[in-house]
Amino acid sequence: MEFDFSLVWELAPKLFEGLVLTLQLSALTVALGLSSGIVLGLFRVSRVLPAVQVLVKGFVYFMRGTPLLVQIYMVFFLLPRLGLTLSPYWTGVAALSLHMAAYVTEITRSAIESIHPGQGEAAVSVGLTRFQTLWIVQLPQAAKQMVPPLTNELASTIKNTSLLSVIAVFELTKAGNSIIQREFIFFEVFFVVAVYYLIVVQLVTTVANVLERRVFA
Amino acid sequence: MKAVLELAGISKSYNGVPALHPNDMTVSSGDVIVLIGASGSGKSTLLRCSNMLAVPDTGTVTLEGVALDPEGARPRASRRQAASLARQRIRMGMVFQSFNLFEHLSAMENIALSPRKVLKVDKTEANDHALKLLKDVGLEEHADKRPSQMSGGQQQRVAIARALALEPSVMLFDEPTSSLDPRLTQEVLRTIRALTDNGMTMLMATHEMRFAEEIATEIAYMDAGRIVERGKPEQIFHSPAEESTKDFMSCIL
Repeated sequence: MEFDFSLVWELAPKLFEGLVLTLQLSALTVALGLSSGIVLGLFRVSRVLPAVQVLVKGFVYFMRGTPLLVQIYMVFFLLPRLGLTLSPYWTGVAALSLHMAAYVTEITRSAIESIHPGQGEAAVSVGLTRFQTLWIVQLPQAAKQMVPPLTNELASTIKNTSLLSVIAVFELTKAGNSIIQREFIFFEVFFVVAVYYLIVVQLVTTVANVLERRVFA
Repeated sequence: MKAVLELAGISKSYNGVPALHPNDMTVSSGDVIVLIGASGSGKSTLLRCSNMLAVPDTGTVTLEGVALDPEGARPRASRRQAASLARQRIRMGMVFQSFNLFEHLSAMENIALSPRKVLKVDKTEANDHALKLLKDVGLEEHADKRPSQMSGGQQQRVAIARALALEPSVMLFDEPTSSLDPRLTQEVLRTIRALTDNGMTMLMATHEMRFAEEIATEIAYMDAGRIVERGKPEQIFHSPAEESTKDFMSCIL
């Protein structure tokens, strides 16, 4: 089989639309997954509402213990049965966000728990509430430690959007697949698809590195 | 003298191991009570029980005539319980062995944080007051430094200023110089001495025996979770009554 470079230049713009969708899905997932994960992580360390703590713990346990593909199918087939029908696009965002939230919960929790207990004791002794202690004292200090694992999580999320091809979301991987099925070009398509993912992940990693060095110096 | 802080029957165990047997202690206005004794004798636990950083298993803590509600210190405390405990905690200025300055904030921000967030003082006013307190402890030129950019002695003086910013009625010192070298120890002790000169009420645990003898109005010697003997410094240091006190004193150079 020959690798035809001229095809790459032809395919790149055709796959661009898929790339844009992948970026959109990633951005939405990160916005939802990151914010809810941080909130859940703060909730976990706060130890309030024991009954809800168990639920959150169970949620994290399930999301980390089952494959994302299974979770996508579950959201896709279960939500309509519960009376909630989402488009494949939003089904995808929901599944990916839930998945990411579970990981971010643990990243947040472990980062805050690694902060020296003296910080919390000092905060309490000057009269801060538990929420103020978490929000003003512990989370800002934990943020620096959260950057590397969150960068990993971000990169995973971007790559994970490819799994949404199974529920017919026309993101980058699905877009590539459909070209393959129509035109029987394999290598060139996957080459472009791979390069697109690499570029995006590289961009994210670079930004994260700058953030880690400059902002959290 | 008016009682500021009263501990009645305070005890505490950790995993079934008693750290503090039931003890009583009254700190009156103007008192400087210094707790001495071996490591593990319960000095820290007594101090931490005073402001509920450690919730005592038995007994009551009364501050300025009002009993502290231990429920406020628990994770499940209601908002009202937590707030009422917080209002009492800020009347007790806690200074820790390891300083515990907020690592991500400057010296000035460390001091101004609680006045702003708890007392709702406006930012300019809180910062001005913080600068004044920094000046009092001789650190006004370090106002914008992070804890990691300061020496241990400087950090501890900032920590003292942070506690003073809330205008406490009693200061609690938990071995404030135990992680400092002799020179830094002296600079922190000078700051503490200046407070006693102004009549600040204190409860302090320390291993600085000469300093204790000099500033204390009363010494309490602790052993195995009990206050074994208490009295005027000259009595405890020079003519202790109890065997274990004598034994401890014989170790002092």
